Amino acid sequence: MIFDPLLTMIRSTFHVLCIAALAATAHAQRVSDFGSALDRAKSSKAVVAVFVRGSDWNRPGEILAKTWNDPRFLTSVGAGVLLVDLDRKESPTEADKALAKRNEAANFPIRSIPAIALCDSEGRLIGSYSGSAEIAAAGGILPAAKKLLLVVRERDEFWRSAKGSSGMMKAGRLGQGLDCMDIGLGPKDIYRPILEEMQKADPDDKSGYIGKYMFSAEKLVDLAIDKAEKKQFAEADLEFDRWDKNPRLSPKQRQQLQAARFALYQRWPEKKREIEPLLEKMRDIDPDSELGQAAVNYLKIQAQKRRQADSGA
Amino acid sequence: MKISIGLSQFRRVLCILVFACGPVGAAVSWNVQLPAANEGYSLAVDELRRVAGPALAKMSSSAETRWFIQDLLASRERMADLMLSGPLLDAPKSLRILAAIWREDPKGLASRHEQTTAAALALMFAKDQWPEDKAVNRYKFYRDSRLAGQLHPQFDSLETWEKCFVVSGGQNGGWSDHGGAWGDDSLVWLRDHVKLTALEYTDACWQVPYKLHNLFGDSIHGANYYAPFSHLIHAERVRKVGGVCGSLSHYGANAARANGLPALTMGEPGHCAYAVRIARGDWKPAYSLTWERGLHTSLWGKTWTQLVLQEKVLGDREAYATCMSQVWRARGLVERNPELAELAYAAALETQPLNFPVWAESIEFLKNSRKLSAESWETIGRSISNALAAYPESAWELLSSIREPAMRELAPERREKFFLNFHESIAEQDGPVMWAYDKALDEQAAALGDDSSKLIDFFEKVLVVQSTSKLWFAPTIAWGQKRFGEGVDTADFFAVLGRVFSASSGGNEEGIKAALGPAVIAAELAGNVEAFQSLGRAGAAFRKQGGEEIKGFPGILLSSGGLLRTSSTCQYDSPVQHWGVLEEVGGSFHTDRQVRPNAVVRLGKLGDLSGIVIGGTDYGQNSGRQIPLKVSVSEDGKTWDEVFRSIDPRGPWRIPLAGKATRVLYVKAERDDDRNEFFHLAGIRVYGRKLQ
Repeated sequence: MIFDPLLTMIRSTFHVLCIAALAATAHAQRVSDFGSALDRAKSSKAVVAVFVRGSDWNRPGEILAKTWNDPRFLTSVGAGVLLVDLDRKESPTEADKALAKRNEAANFPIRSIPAIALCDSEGRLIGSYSGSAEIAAAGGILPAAKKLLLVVRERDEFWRSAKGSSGMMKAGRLGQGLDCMDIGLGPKDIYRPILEEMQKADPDDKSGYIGKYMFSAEKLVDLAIDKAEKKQFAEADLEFDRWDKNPRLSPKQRQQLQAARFALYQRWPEKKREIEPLLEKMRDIDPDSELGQAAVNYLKIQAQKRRQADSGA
Repeated sequence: MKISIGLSQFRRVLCILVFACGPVGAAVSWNVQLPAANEGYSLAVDELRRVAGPALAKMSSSAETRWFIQDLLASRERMADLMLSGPLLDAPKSLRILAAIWREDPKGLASRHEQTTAAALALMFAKDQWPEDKAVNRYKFYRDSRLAGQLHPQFDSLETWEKCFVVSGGQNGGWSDHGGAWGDDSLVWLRDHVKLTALEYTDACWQVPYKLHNLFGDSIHGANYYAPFSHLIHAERVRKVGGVCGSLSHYGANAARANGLPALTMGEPGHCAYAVRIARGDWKPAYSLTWERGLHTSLWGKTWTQLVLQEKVLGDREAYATCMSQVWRARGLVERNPELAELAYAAALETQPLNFPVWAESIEFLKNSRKLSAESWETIGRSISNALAAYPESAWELLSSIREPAMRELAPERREKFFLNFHESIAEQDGPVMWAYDKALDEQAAALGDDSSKLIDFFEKVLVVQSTSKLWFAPTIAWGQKRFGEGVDTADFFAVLGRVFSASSGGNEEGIKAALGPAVIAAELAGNVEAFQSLGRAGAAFRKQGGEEIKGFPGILLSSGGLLRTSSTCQYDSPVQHWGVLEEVGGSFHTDRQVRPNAVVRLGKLGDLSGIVIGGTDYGQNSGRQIPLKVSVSEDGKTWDEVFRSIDPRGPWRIPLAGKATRVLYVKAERDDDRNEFFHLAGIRVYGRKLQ
């Protein structure tokens, strides 16, 4: 049965809840809607955890809701957390519609329901788990909530220390805070003001974090295609060299950079022979990652192409 | 709905024929009463034997399938699942699929839920090129998902015909296997990773980033776009790698289907869209940019109108069952007693006048088996127009199919009336959606011959009929403009406009502008982009030249080819200038005095905006009418995001939007205050990258 792992997960979650309930004295509080939660969060500097479900249509969500609604959940997540239950019903009553209106600001990008999302006291998303598969992979709804709480604590720690620093140190601390969340600049670039703060503190990007948060794989591919069309290959290559020197790029960004250079070299007759080393580099950055695997697959495609060309010749 | 006049006439035609050609006694004694429930069931069994006799005999003689056939034929519910869920395209193949599912899961199929799923699979997998041996896996997917509570609860209330739109997930209405495209593995992944409310599936396509090139720089049109990601399930790699309209729409539609909701993809010119059925009878188009939709999955026909008709026809279970009983009876009689077959077809249509396939089948029968008089064709034409007046596209589809024989029989002076009857019937009807009305006029004109003076005359008569129509007025003028507005017929065309609109100075510039103006406004109100564009170009000669030079933003002019709709018009407004507001040439609009006047642009292309330039008509004395200027953007024309506000009376107002308005189809410019005042602008030019 599909739900067997889920049931096991729920049992273990309750086990964790019981232990946590004994240990904790301070507890989270439930708030009726996201708007009120944000008002309270602003004054108390609390964070808001939102559980998205659909009580009249989404059975996987209702199974998780049992844990979410358990009083022990409040003590397990601890103080400084406001919990909002966001019920996306198929057949809402007038009261549900009025409530949905008050929840309008909770418009995080949710790909699947049930979902849990955490946002800070300013309403900015910290992170989320969308769908029972992601929540299960995080160990259940309580571990998922705790992971998100850990993220915000780490982030805020970096950002607190950034307040006492300046220059590239400040930019670095702010960047490390963004790193904790791993959501780039967030939905609708909500963290752009942080980037702007980094730019102000470190105009020459000595920390490398500004580049990291301005990096766009899509723009680099567009650049490769555009410059190749104009036969300005070397210009694009220089730009890629510049990016390659940034020590702060994540392994995934480094892989994306190799892929963008691959896009350029594929169109650059003099560099065609160098495309396979690029794929190998991309693979070796993180062979187990999805992009590492994509590089391996592309090497196979290239090898097959070569074999076909050889047999044709 | 009873269409007593039309259908009685149709019946009279049929009766006349029976009396004229056949055994009167037989016609009189034939029982054309609606069949009783028992009779309907036995007619269904007879029909199945008629279309799948040898297959039934073979399966009945095999020890492995004998019991299945016996049970099937003995069960009214299961026979209804198979016989009353839309056309049975390949009955022997459907029977084989059903038997295979039955063999696999005899216990599970004790449940009506599983029975209807199995029947839907038997019907859909019987389609040409669909592999019948894969139906069992698809059945198991829906059975297991349902039992595990993984499907949307709507699935449990669906009947067989509705489930046909669920179980048919795949690629462009065809089968897709594991790995390469939208196979069962993708359905499992989508079920587990994209679970949303029914309405939210209309937005699910945007979980996939719109990208023409993957991160290796390979184009979506080449073989290597997805190939390096072969380690991922197709649905997953589409979400991670990206895609264009085809991938996005299949992702959205298959996500809904994987979760038990009816959905389908559909082709649009240069685009792929999809639709999700969020409730019974309520299909919502998604990522759809035009009414020109070709359904990839349908029980019959390819148009949106047909999809709406299917809901009406199959949704009325009792009428459908009775209607189809008569059809089965008719089919059994076509060879041995065509007169009685004719009566049975008439009875079927009287029971369910909207049943399009039955109309089509009856017409084919009449064309092939009967020799009808001119009067009979006129009567049938009127009957079709009356019965399907609320569905003009489908009414025309049927009329078009009798156009040739009718024109052959009708005297030249009666031919025009044959088509005008149709226009009279639909004039007050909106229909479910816009359709290729101009092509219908083309066909009508072709049928009437090539005498241009007669065609101008026909155009004038159609225009008179449609001059009060909310929807067909503008496209009628647009059609006339295309056909007669240039070349030797131009003067005649404008003379017609002058006469129809009683323009005092018909033929001169002001008179013509006066005639075109209401048509432009009608096109705007109807949201008819094609008519707006056609009329806009027609007004080119009257457009003022030399608007201000405005520097644009990167990308293409997304507003070009779109539609402008203003909140009001007035005596100072010249609607022929509206078209230019969206184009580089410039134009103007002028609303009436009102509070919060506005103009909404429906872009020519859905886009990721780089910027908007708003041009004013006056930066001097009347510039205050244009401020405070507020500009908003929207994807659906309902929910708006404000992107600009200014109280500076000096334009043009340049609004850079890179990265801030990534999916936009509508732009609204408005004056945001409480003054009761005019509002006028010269340009709303929208730039960016197209997403279609």
